[in-house]
Amino acid sequence: MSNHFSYRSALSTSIRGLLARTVKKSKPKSEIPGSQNANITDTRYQIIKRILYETPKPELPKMTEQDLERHETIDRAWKLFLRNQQEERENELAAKYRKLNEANLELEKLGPRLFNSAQIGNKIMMFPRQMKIPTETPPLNGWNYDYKPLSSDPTKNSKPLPSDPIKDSEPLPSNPIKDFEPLPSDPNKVSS
Amino acid sequence: KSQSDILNLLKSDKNEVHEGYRIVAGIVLSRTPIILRDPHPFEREYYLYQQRLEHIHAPPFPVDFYFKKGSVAEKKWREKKEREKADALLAFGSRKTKNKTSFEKIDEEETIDSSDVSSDEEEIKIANRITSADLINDVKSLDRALQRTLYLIVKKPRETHSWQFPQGGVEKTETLVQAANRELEEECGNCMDVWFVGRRPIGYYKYDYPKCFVKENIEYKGAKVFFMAAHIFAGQVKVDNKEIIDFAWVTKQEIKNYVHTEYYEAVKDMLSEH
Repeated sequence: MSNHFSYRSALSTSIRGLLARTVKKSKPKSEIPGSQNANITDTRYQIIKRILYETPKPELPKMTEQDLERHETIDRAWKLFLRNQQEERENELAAKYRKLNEANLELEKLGPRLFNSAQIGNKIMMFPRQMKIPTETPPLNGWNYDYKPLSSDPTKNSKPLPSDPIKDSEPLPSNPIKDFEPLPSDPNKVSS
Repeated sequence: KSQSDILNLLKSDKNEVHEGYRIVAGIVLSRTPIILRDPHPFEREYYLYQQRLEHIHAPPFPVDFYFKKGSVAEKKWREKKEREKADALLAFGSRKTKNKTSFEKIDEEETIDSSDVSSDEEEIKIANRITSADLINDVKSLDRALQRTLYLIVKKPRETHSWQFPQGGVEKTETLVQAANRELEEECGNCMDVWFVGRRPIGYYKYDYPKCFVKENIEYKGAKVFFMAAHIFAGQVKVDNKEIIDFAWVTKQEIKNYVHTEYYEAVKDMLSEH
C-alpha cells in the first residue's frame, strides 16, 4: 500500500489543487473495463464468464462395439503407417551417414592437408537466408533464372557489396573462399 | 620437345595425385523441394476421419462471443452450420458416400487453383503446384517437380559414361571446397547462387580410367572423386560446349536413366528420396 518512493512536491498544495481542477475529467469508473465499479449488467462480461467457467467438458465419444473395433483398427493402421515412414527416413539417413563416413576415412588416407582443411567448421554455424523451407504453393514468379553474381574480387577479404539488399544481411556468403578461418598447415603446430 | 616436357612437369605439379589416382572434387548440386509433399491417400482419409470425430464431439461453439447479435456475419454462420449438420448425419458411419460431404468439398476447394474473391476483399493470387515445366517434362527447368529434390547432372563430350555430376581435379594449393567451387564455375558458369554445405565430402567414388585415356600427357591410373554437397537458390547453368555439352535437373529416380549403372550404385546413397 505504501509508495515505493516519497518526495516533497515542488508546488504548494493550493497550486496543485488549482491544476487538478483545470485538468480534463477522465472516464466515469463504470466505463473503465476491469474496474470494480464497472457496469455489471454489460452482457459481454456474462458471455466471457460463461465461456470461462461453464463450458461443458468434451465427453469421450460414445461408440458401439463395431465402431470401437473400427476405430482401433484405424488407429493401428495409422501407427503402422507412421512407423514405416519413420523407418524409411531413418534408413535414408543411415545410408547418407555411411557414405559421409566412408568419404572422410578415405580422405584421411590422402594426407593431412586435405583432411584437416575439410574437418574444420565455423565456430558459429550459420545458414543463408535464401535457404527457405517448403510452402503449400510455390512463389508467384517461379524460379529466378536471372541471377547475376556479385562483382567482388575473390582475393579481397570483404563483406558482400551493399548494393545487393538480400546478401547484405546474409551471415555466410555463398563463396566459401571468403569465410575461411586460417588453415593449419601442420596439425601439430602450436598457435601463437 | 623439351619445352613441352617442362610444361607437363609444371602441370603435374599443380594437380593432387595419390598412388597414381587423380584427386577430384565432385559437386552434388541440389535444388531442395519448394512445396510440401502431396498427402498420401491414407493420410487424407485419416485426417478427414479425425476431423469428423472432433466436429461431432466438440463443445458448443459460443456464437454470441464471436458474432454480434443480428449482424450479417452471424447470419452466414448460422446458414453454414445448418448445412454441415445435415451432411454430418449422412457422412459419419458410412465412408463411401456418393454425395460428398461439405468437409470433403472444403478440402477439394483448397487444392484447386482458385482465388478468394468477395466484393470488399482483394484478389489473392495463388500459383499452381503443378507447373508448365511439369506438364512438358522440361528437364532443364528448375520449376519442375517442385515437391522433389532435383540434382544437377552434366554431359561430357564423350561417348561412354557421358552423364555425371560436375567434377574436376583438386590442385595442390587449394582445399576440397575451393576446388569444388572453382570447378563448378568453370563447367557450369557463374550465374548461379550456390552455397556449399560445409567443408566435408559427402561421398567417395574411385574408378580406373580405360587404358587408352591419358589426361594432359600424364599417366593416371584413374580418379578418386570426393563429392561436396551444395544448394542452388537462384540462376541457371550456362553451357559453354567446352567441358560440358548438356545438363539436366533430375530427381534421384530419374538419374538412373542418364547415368551409367555402376556410377549410380556408387552415388545413390548420398541422395534424398524426396
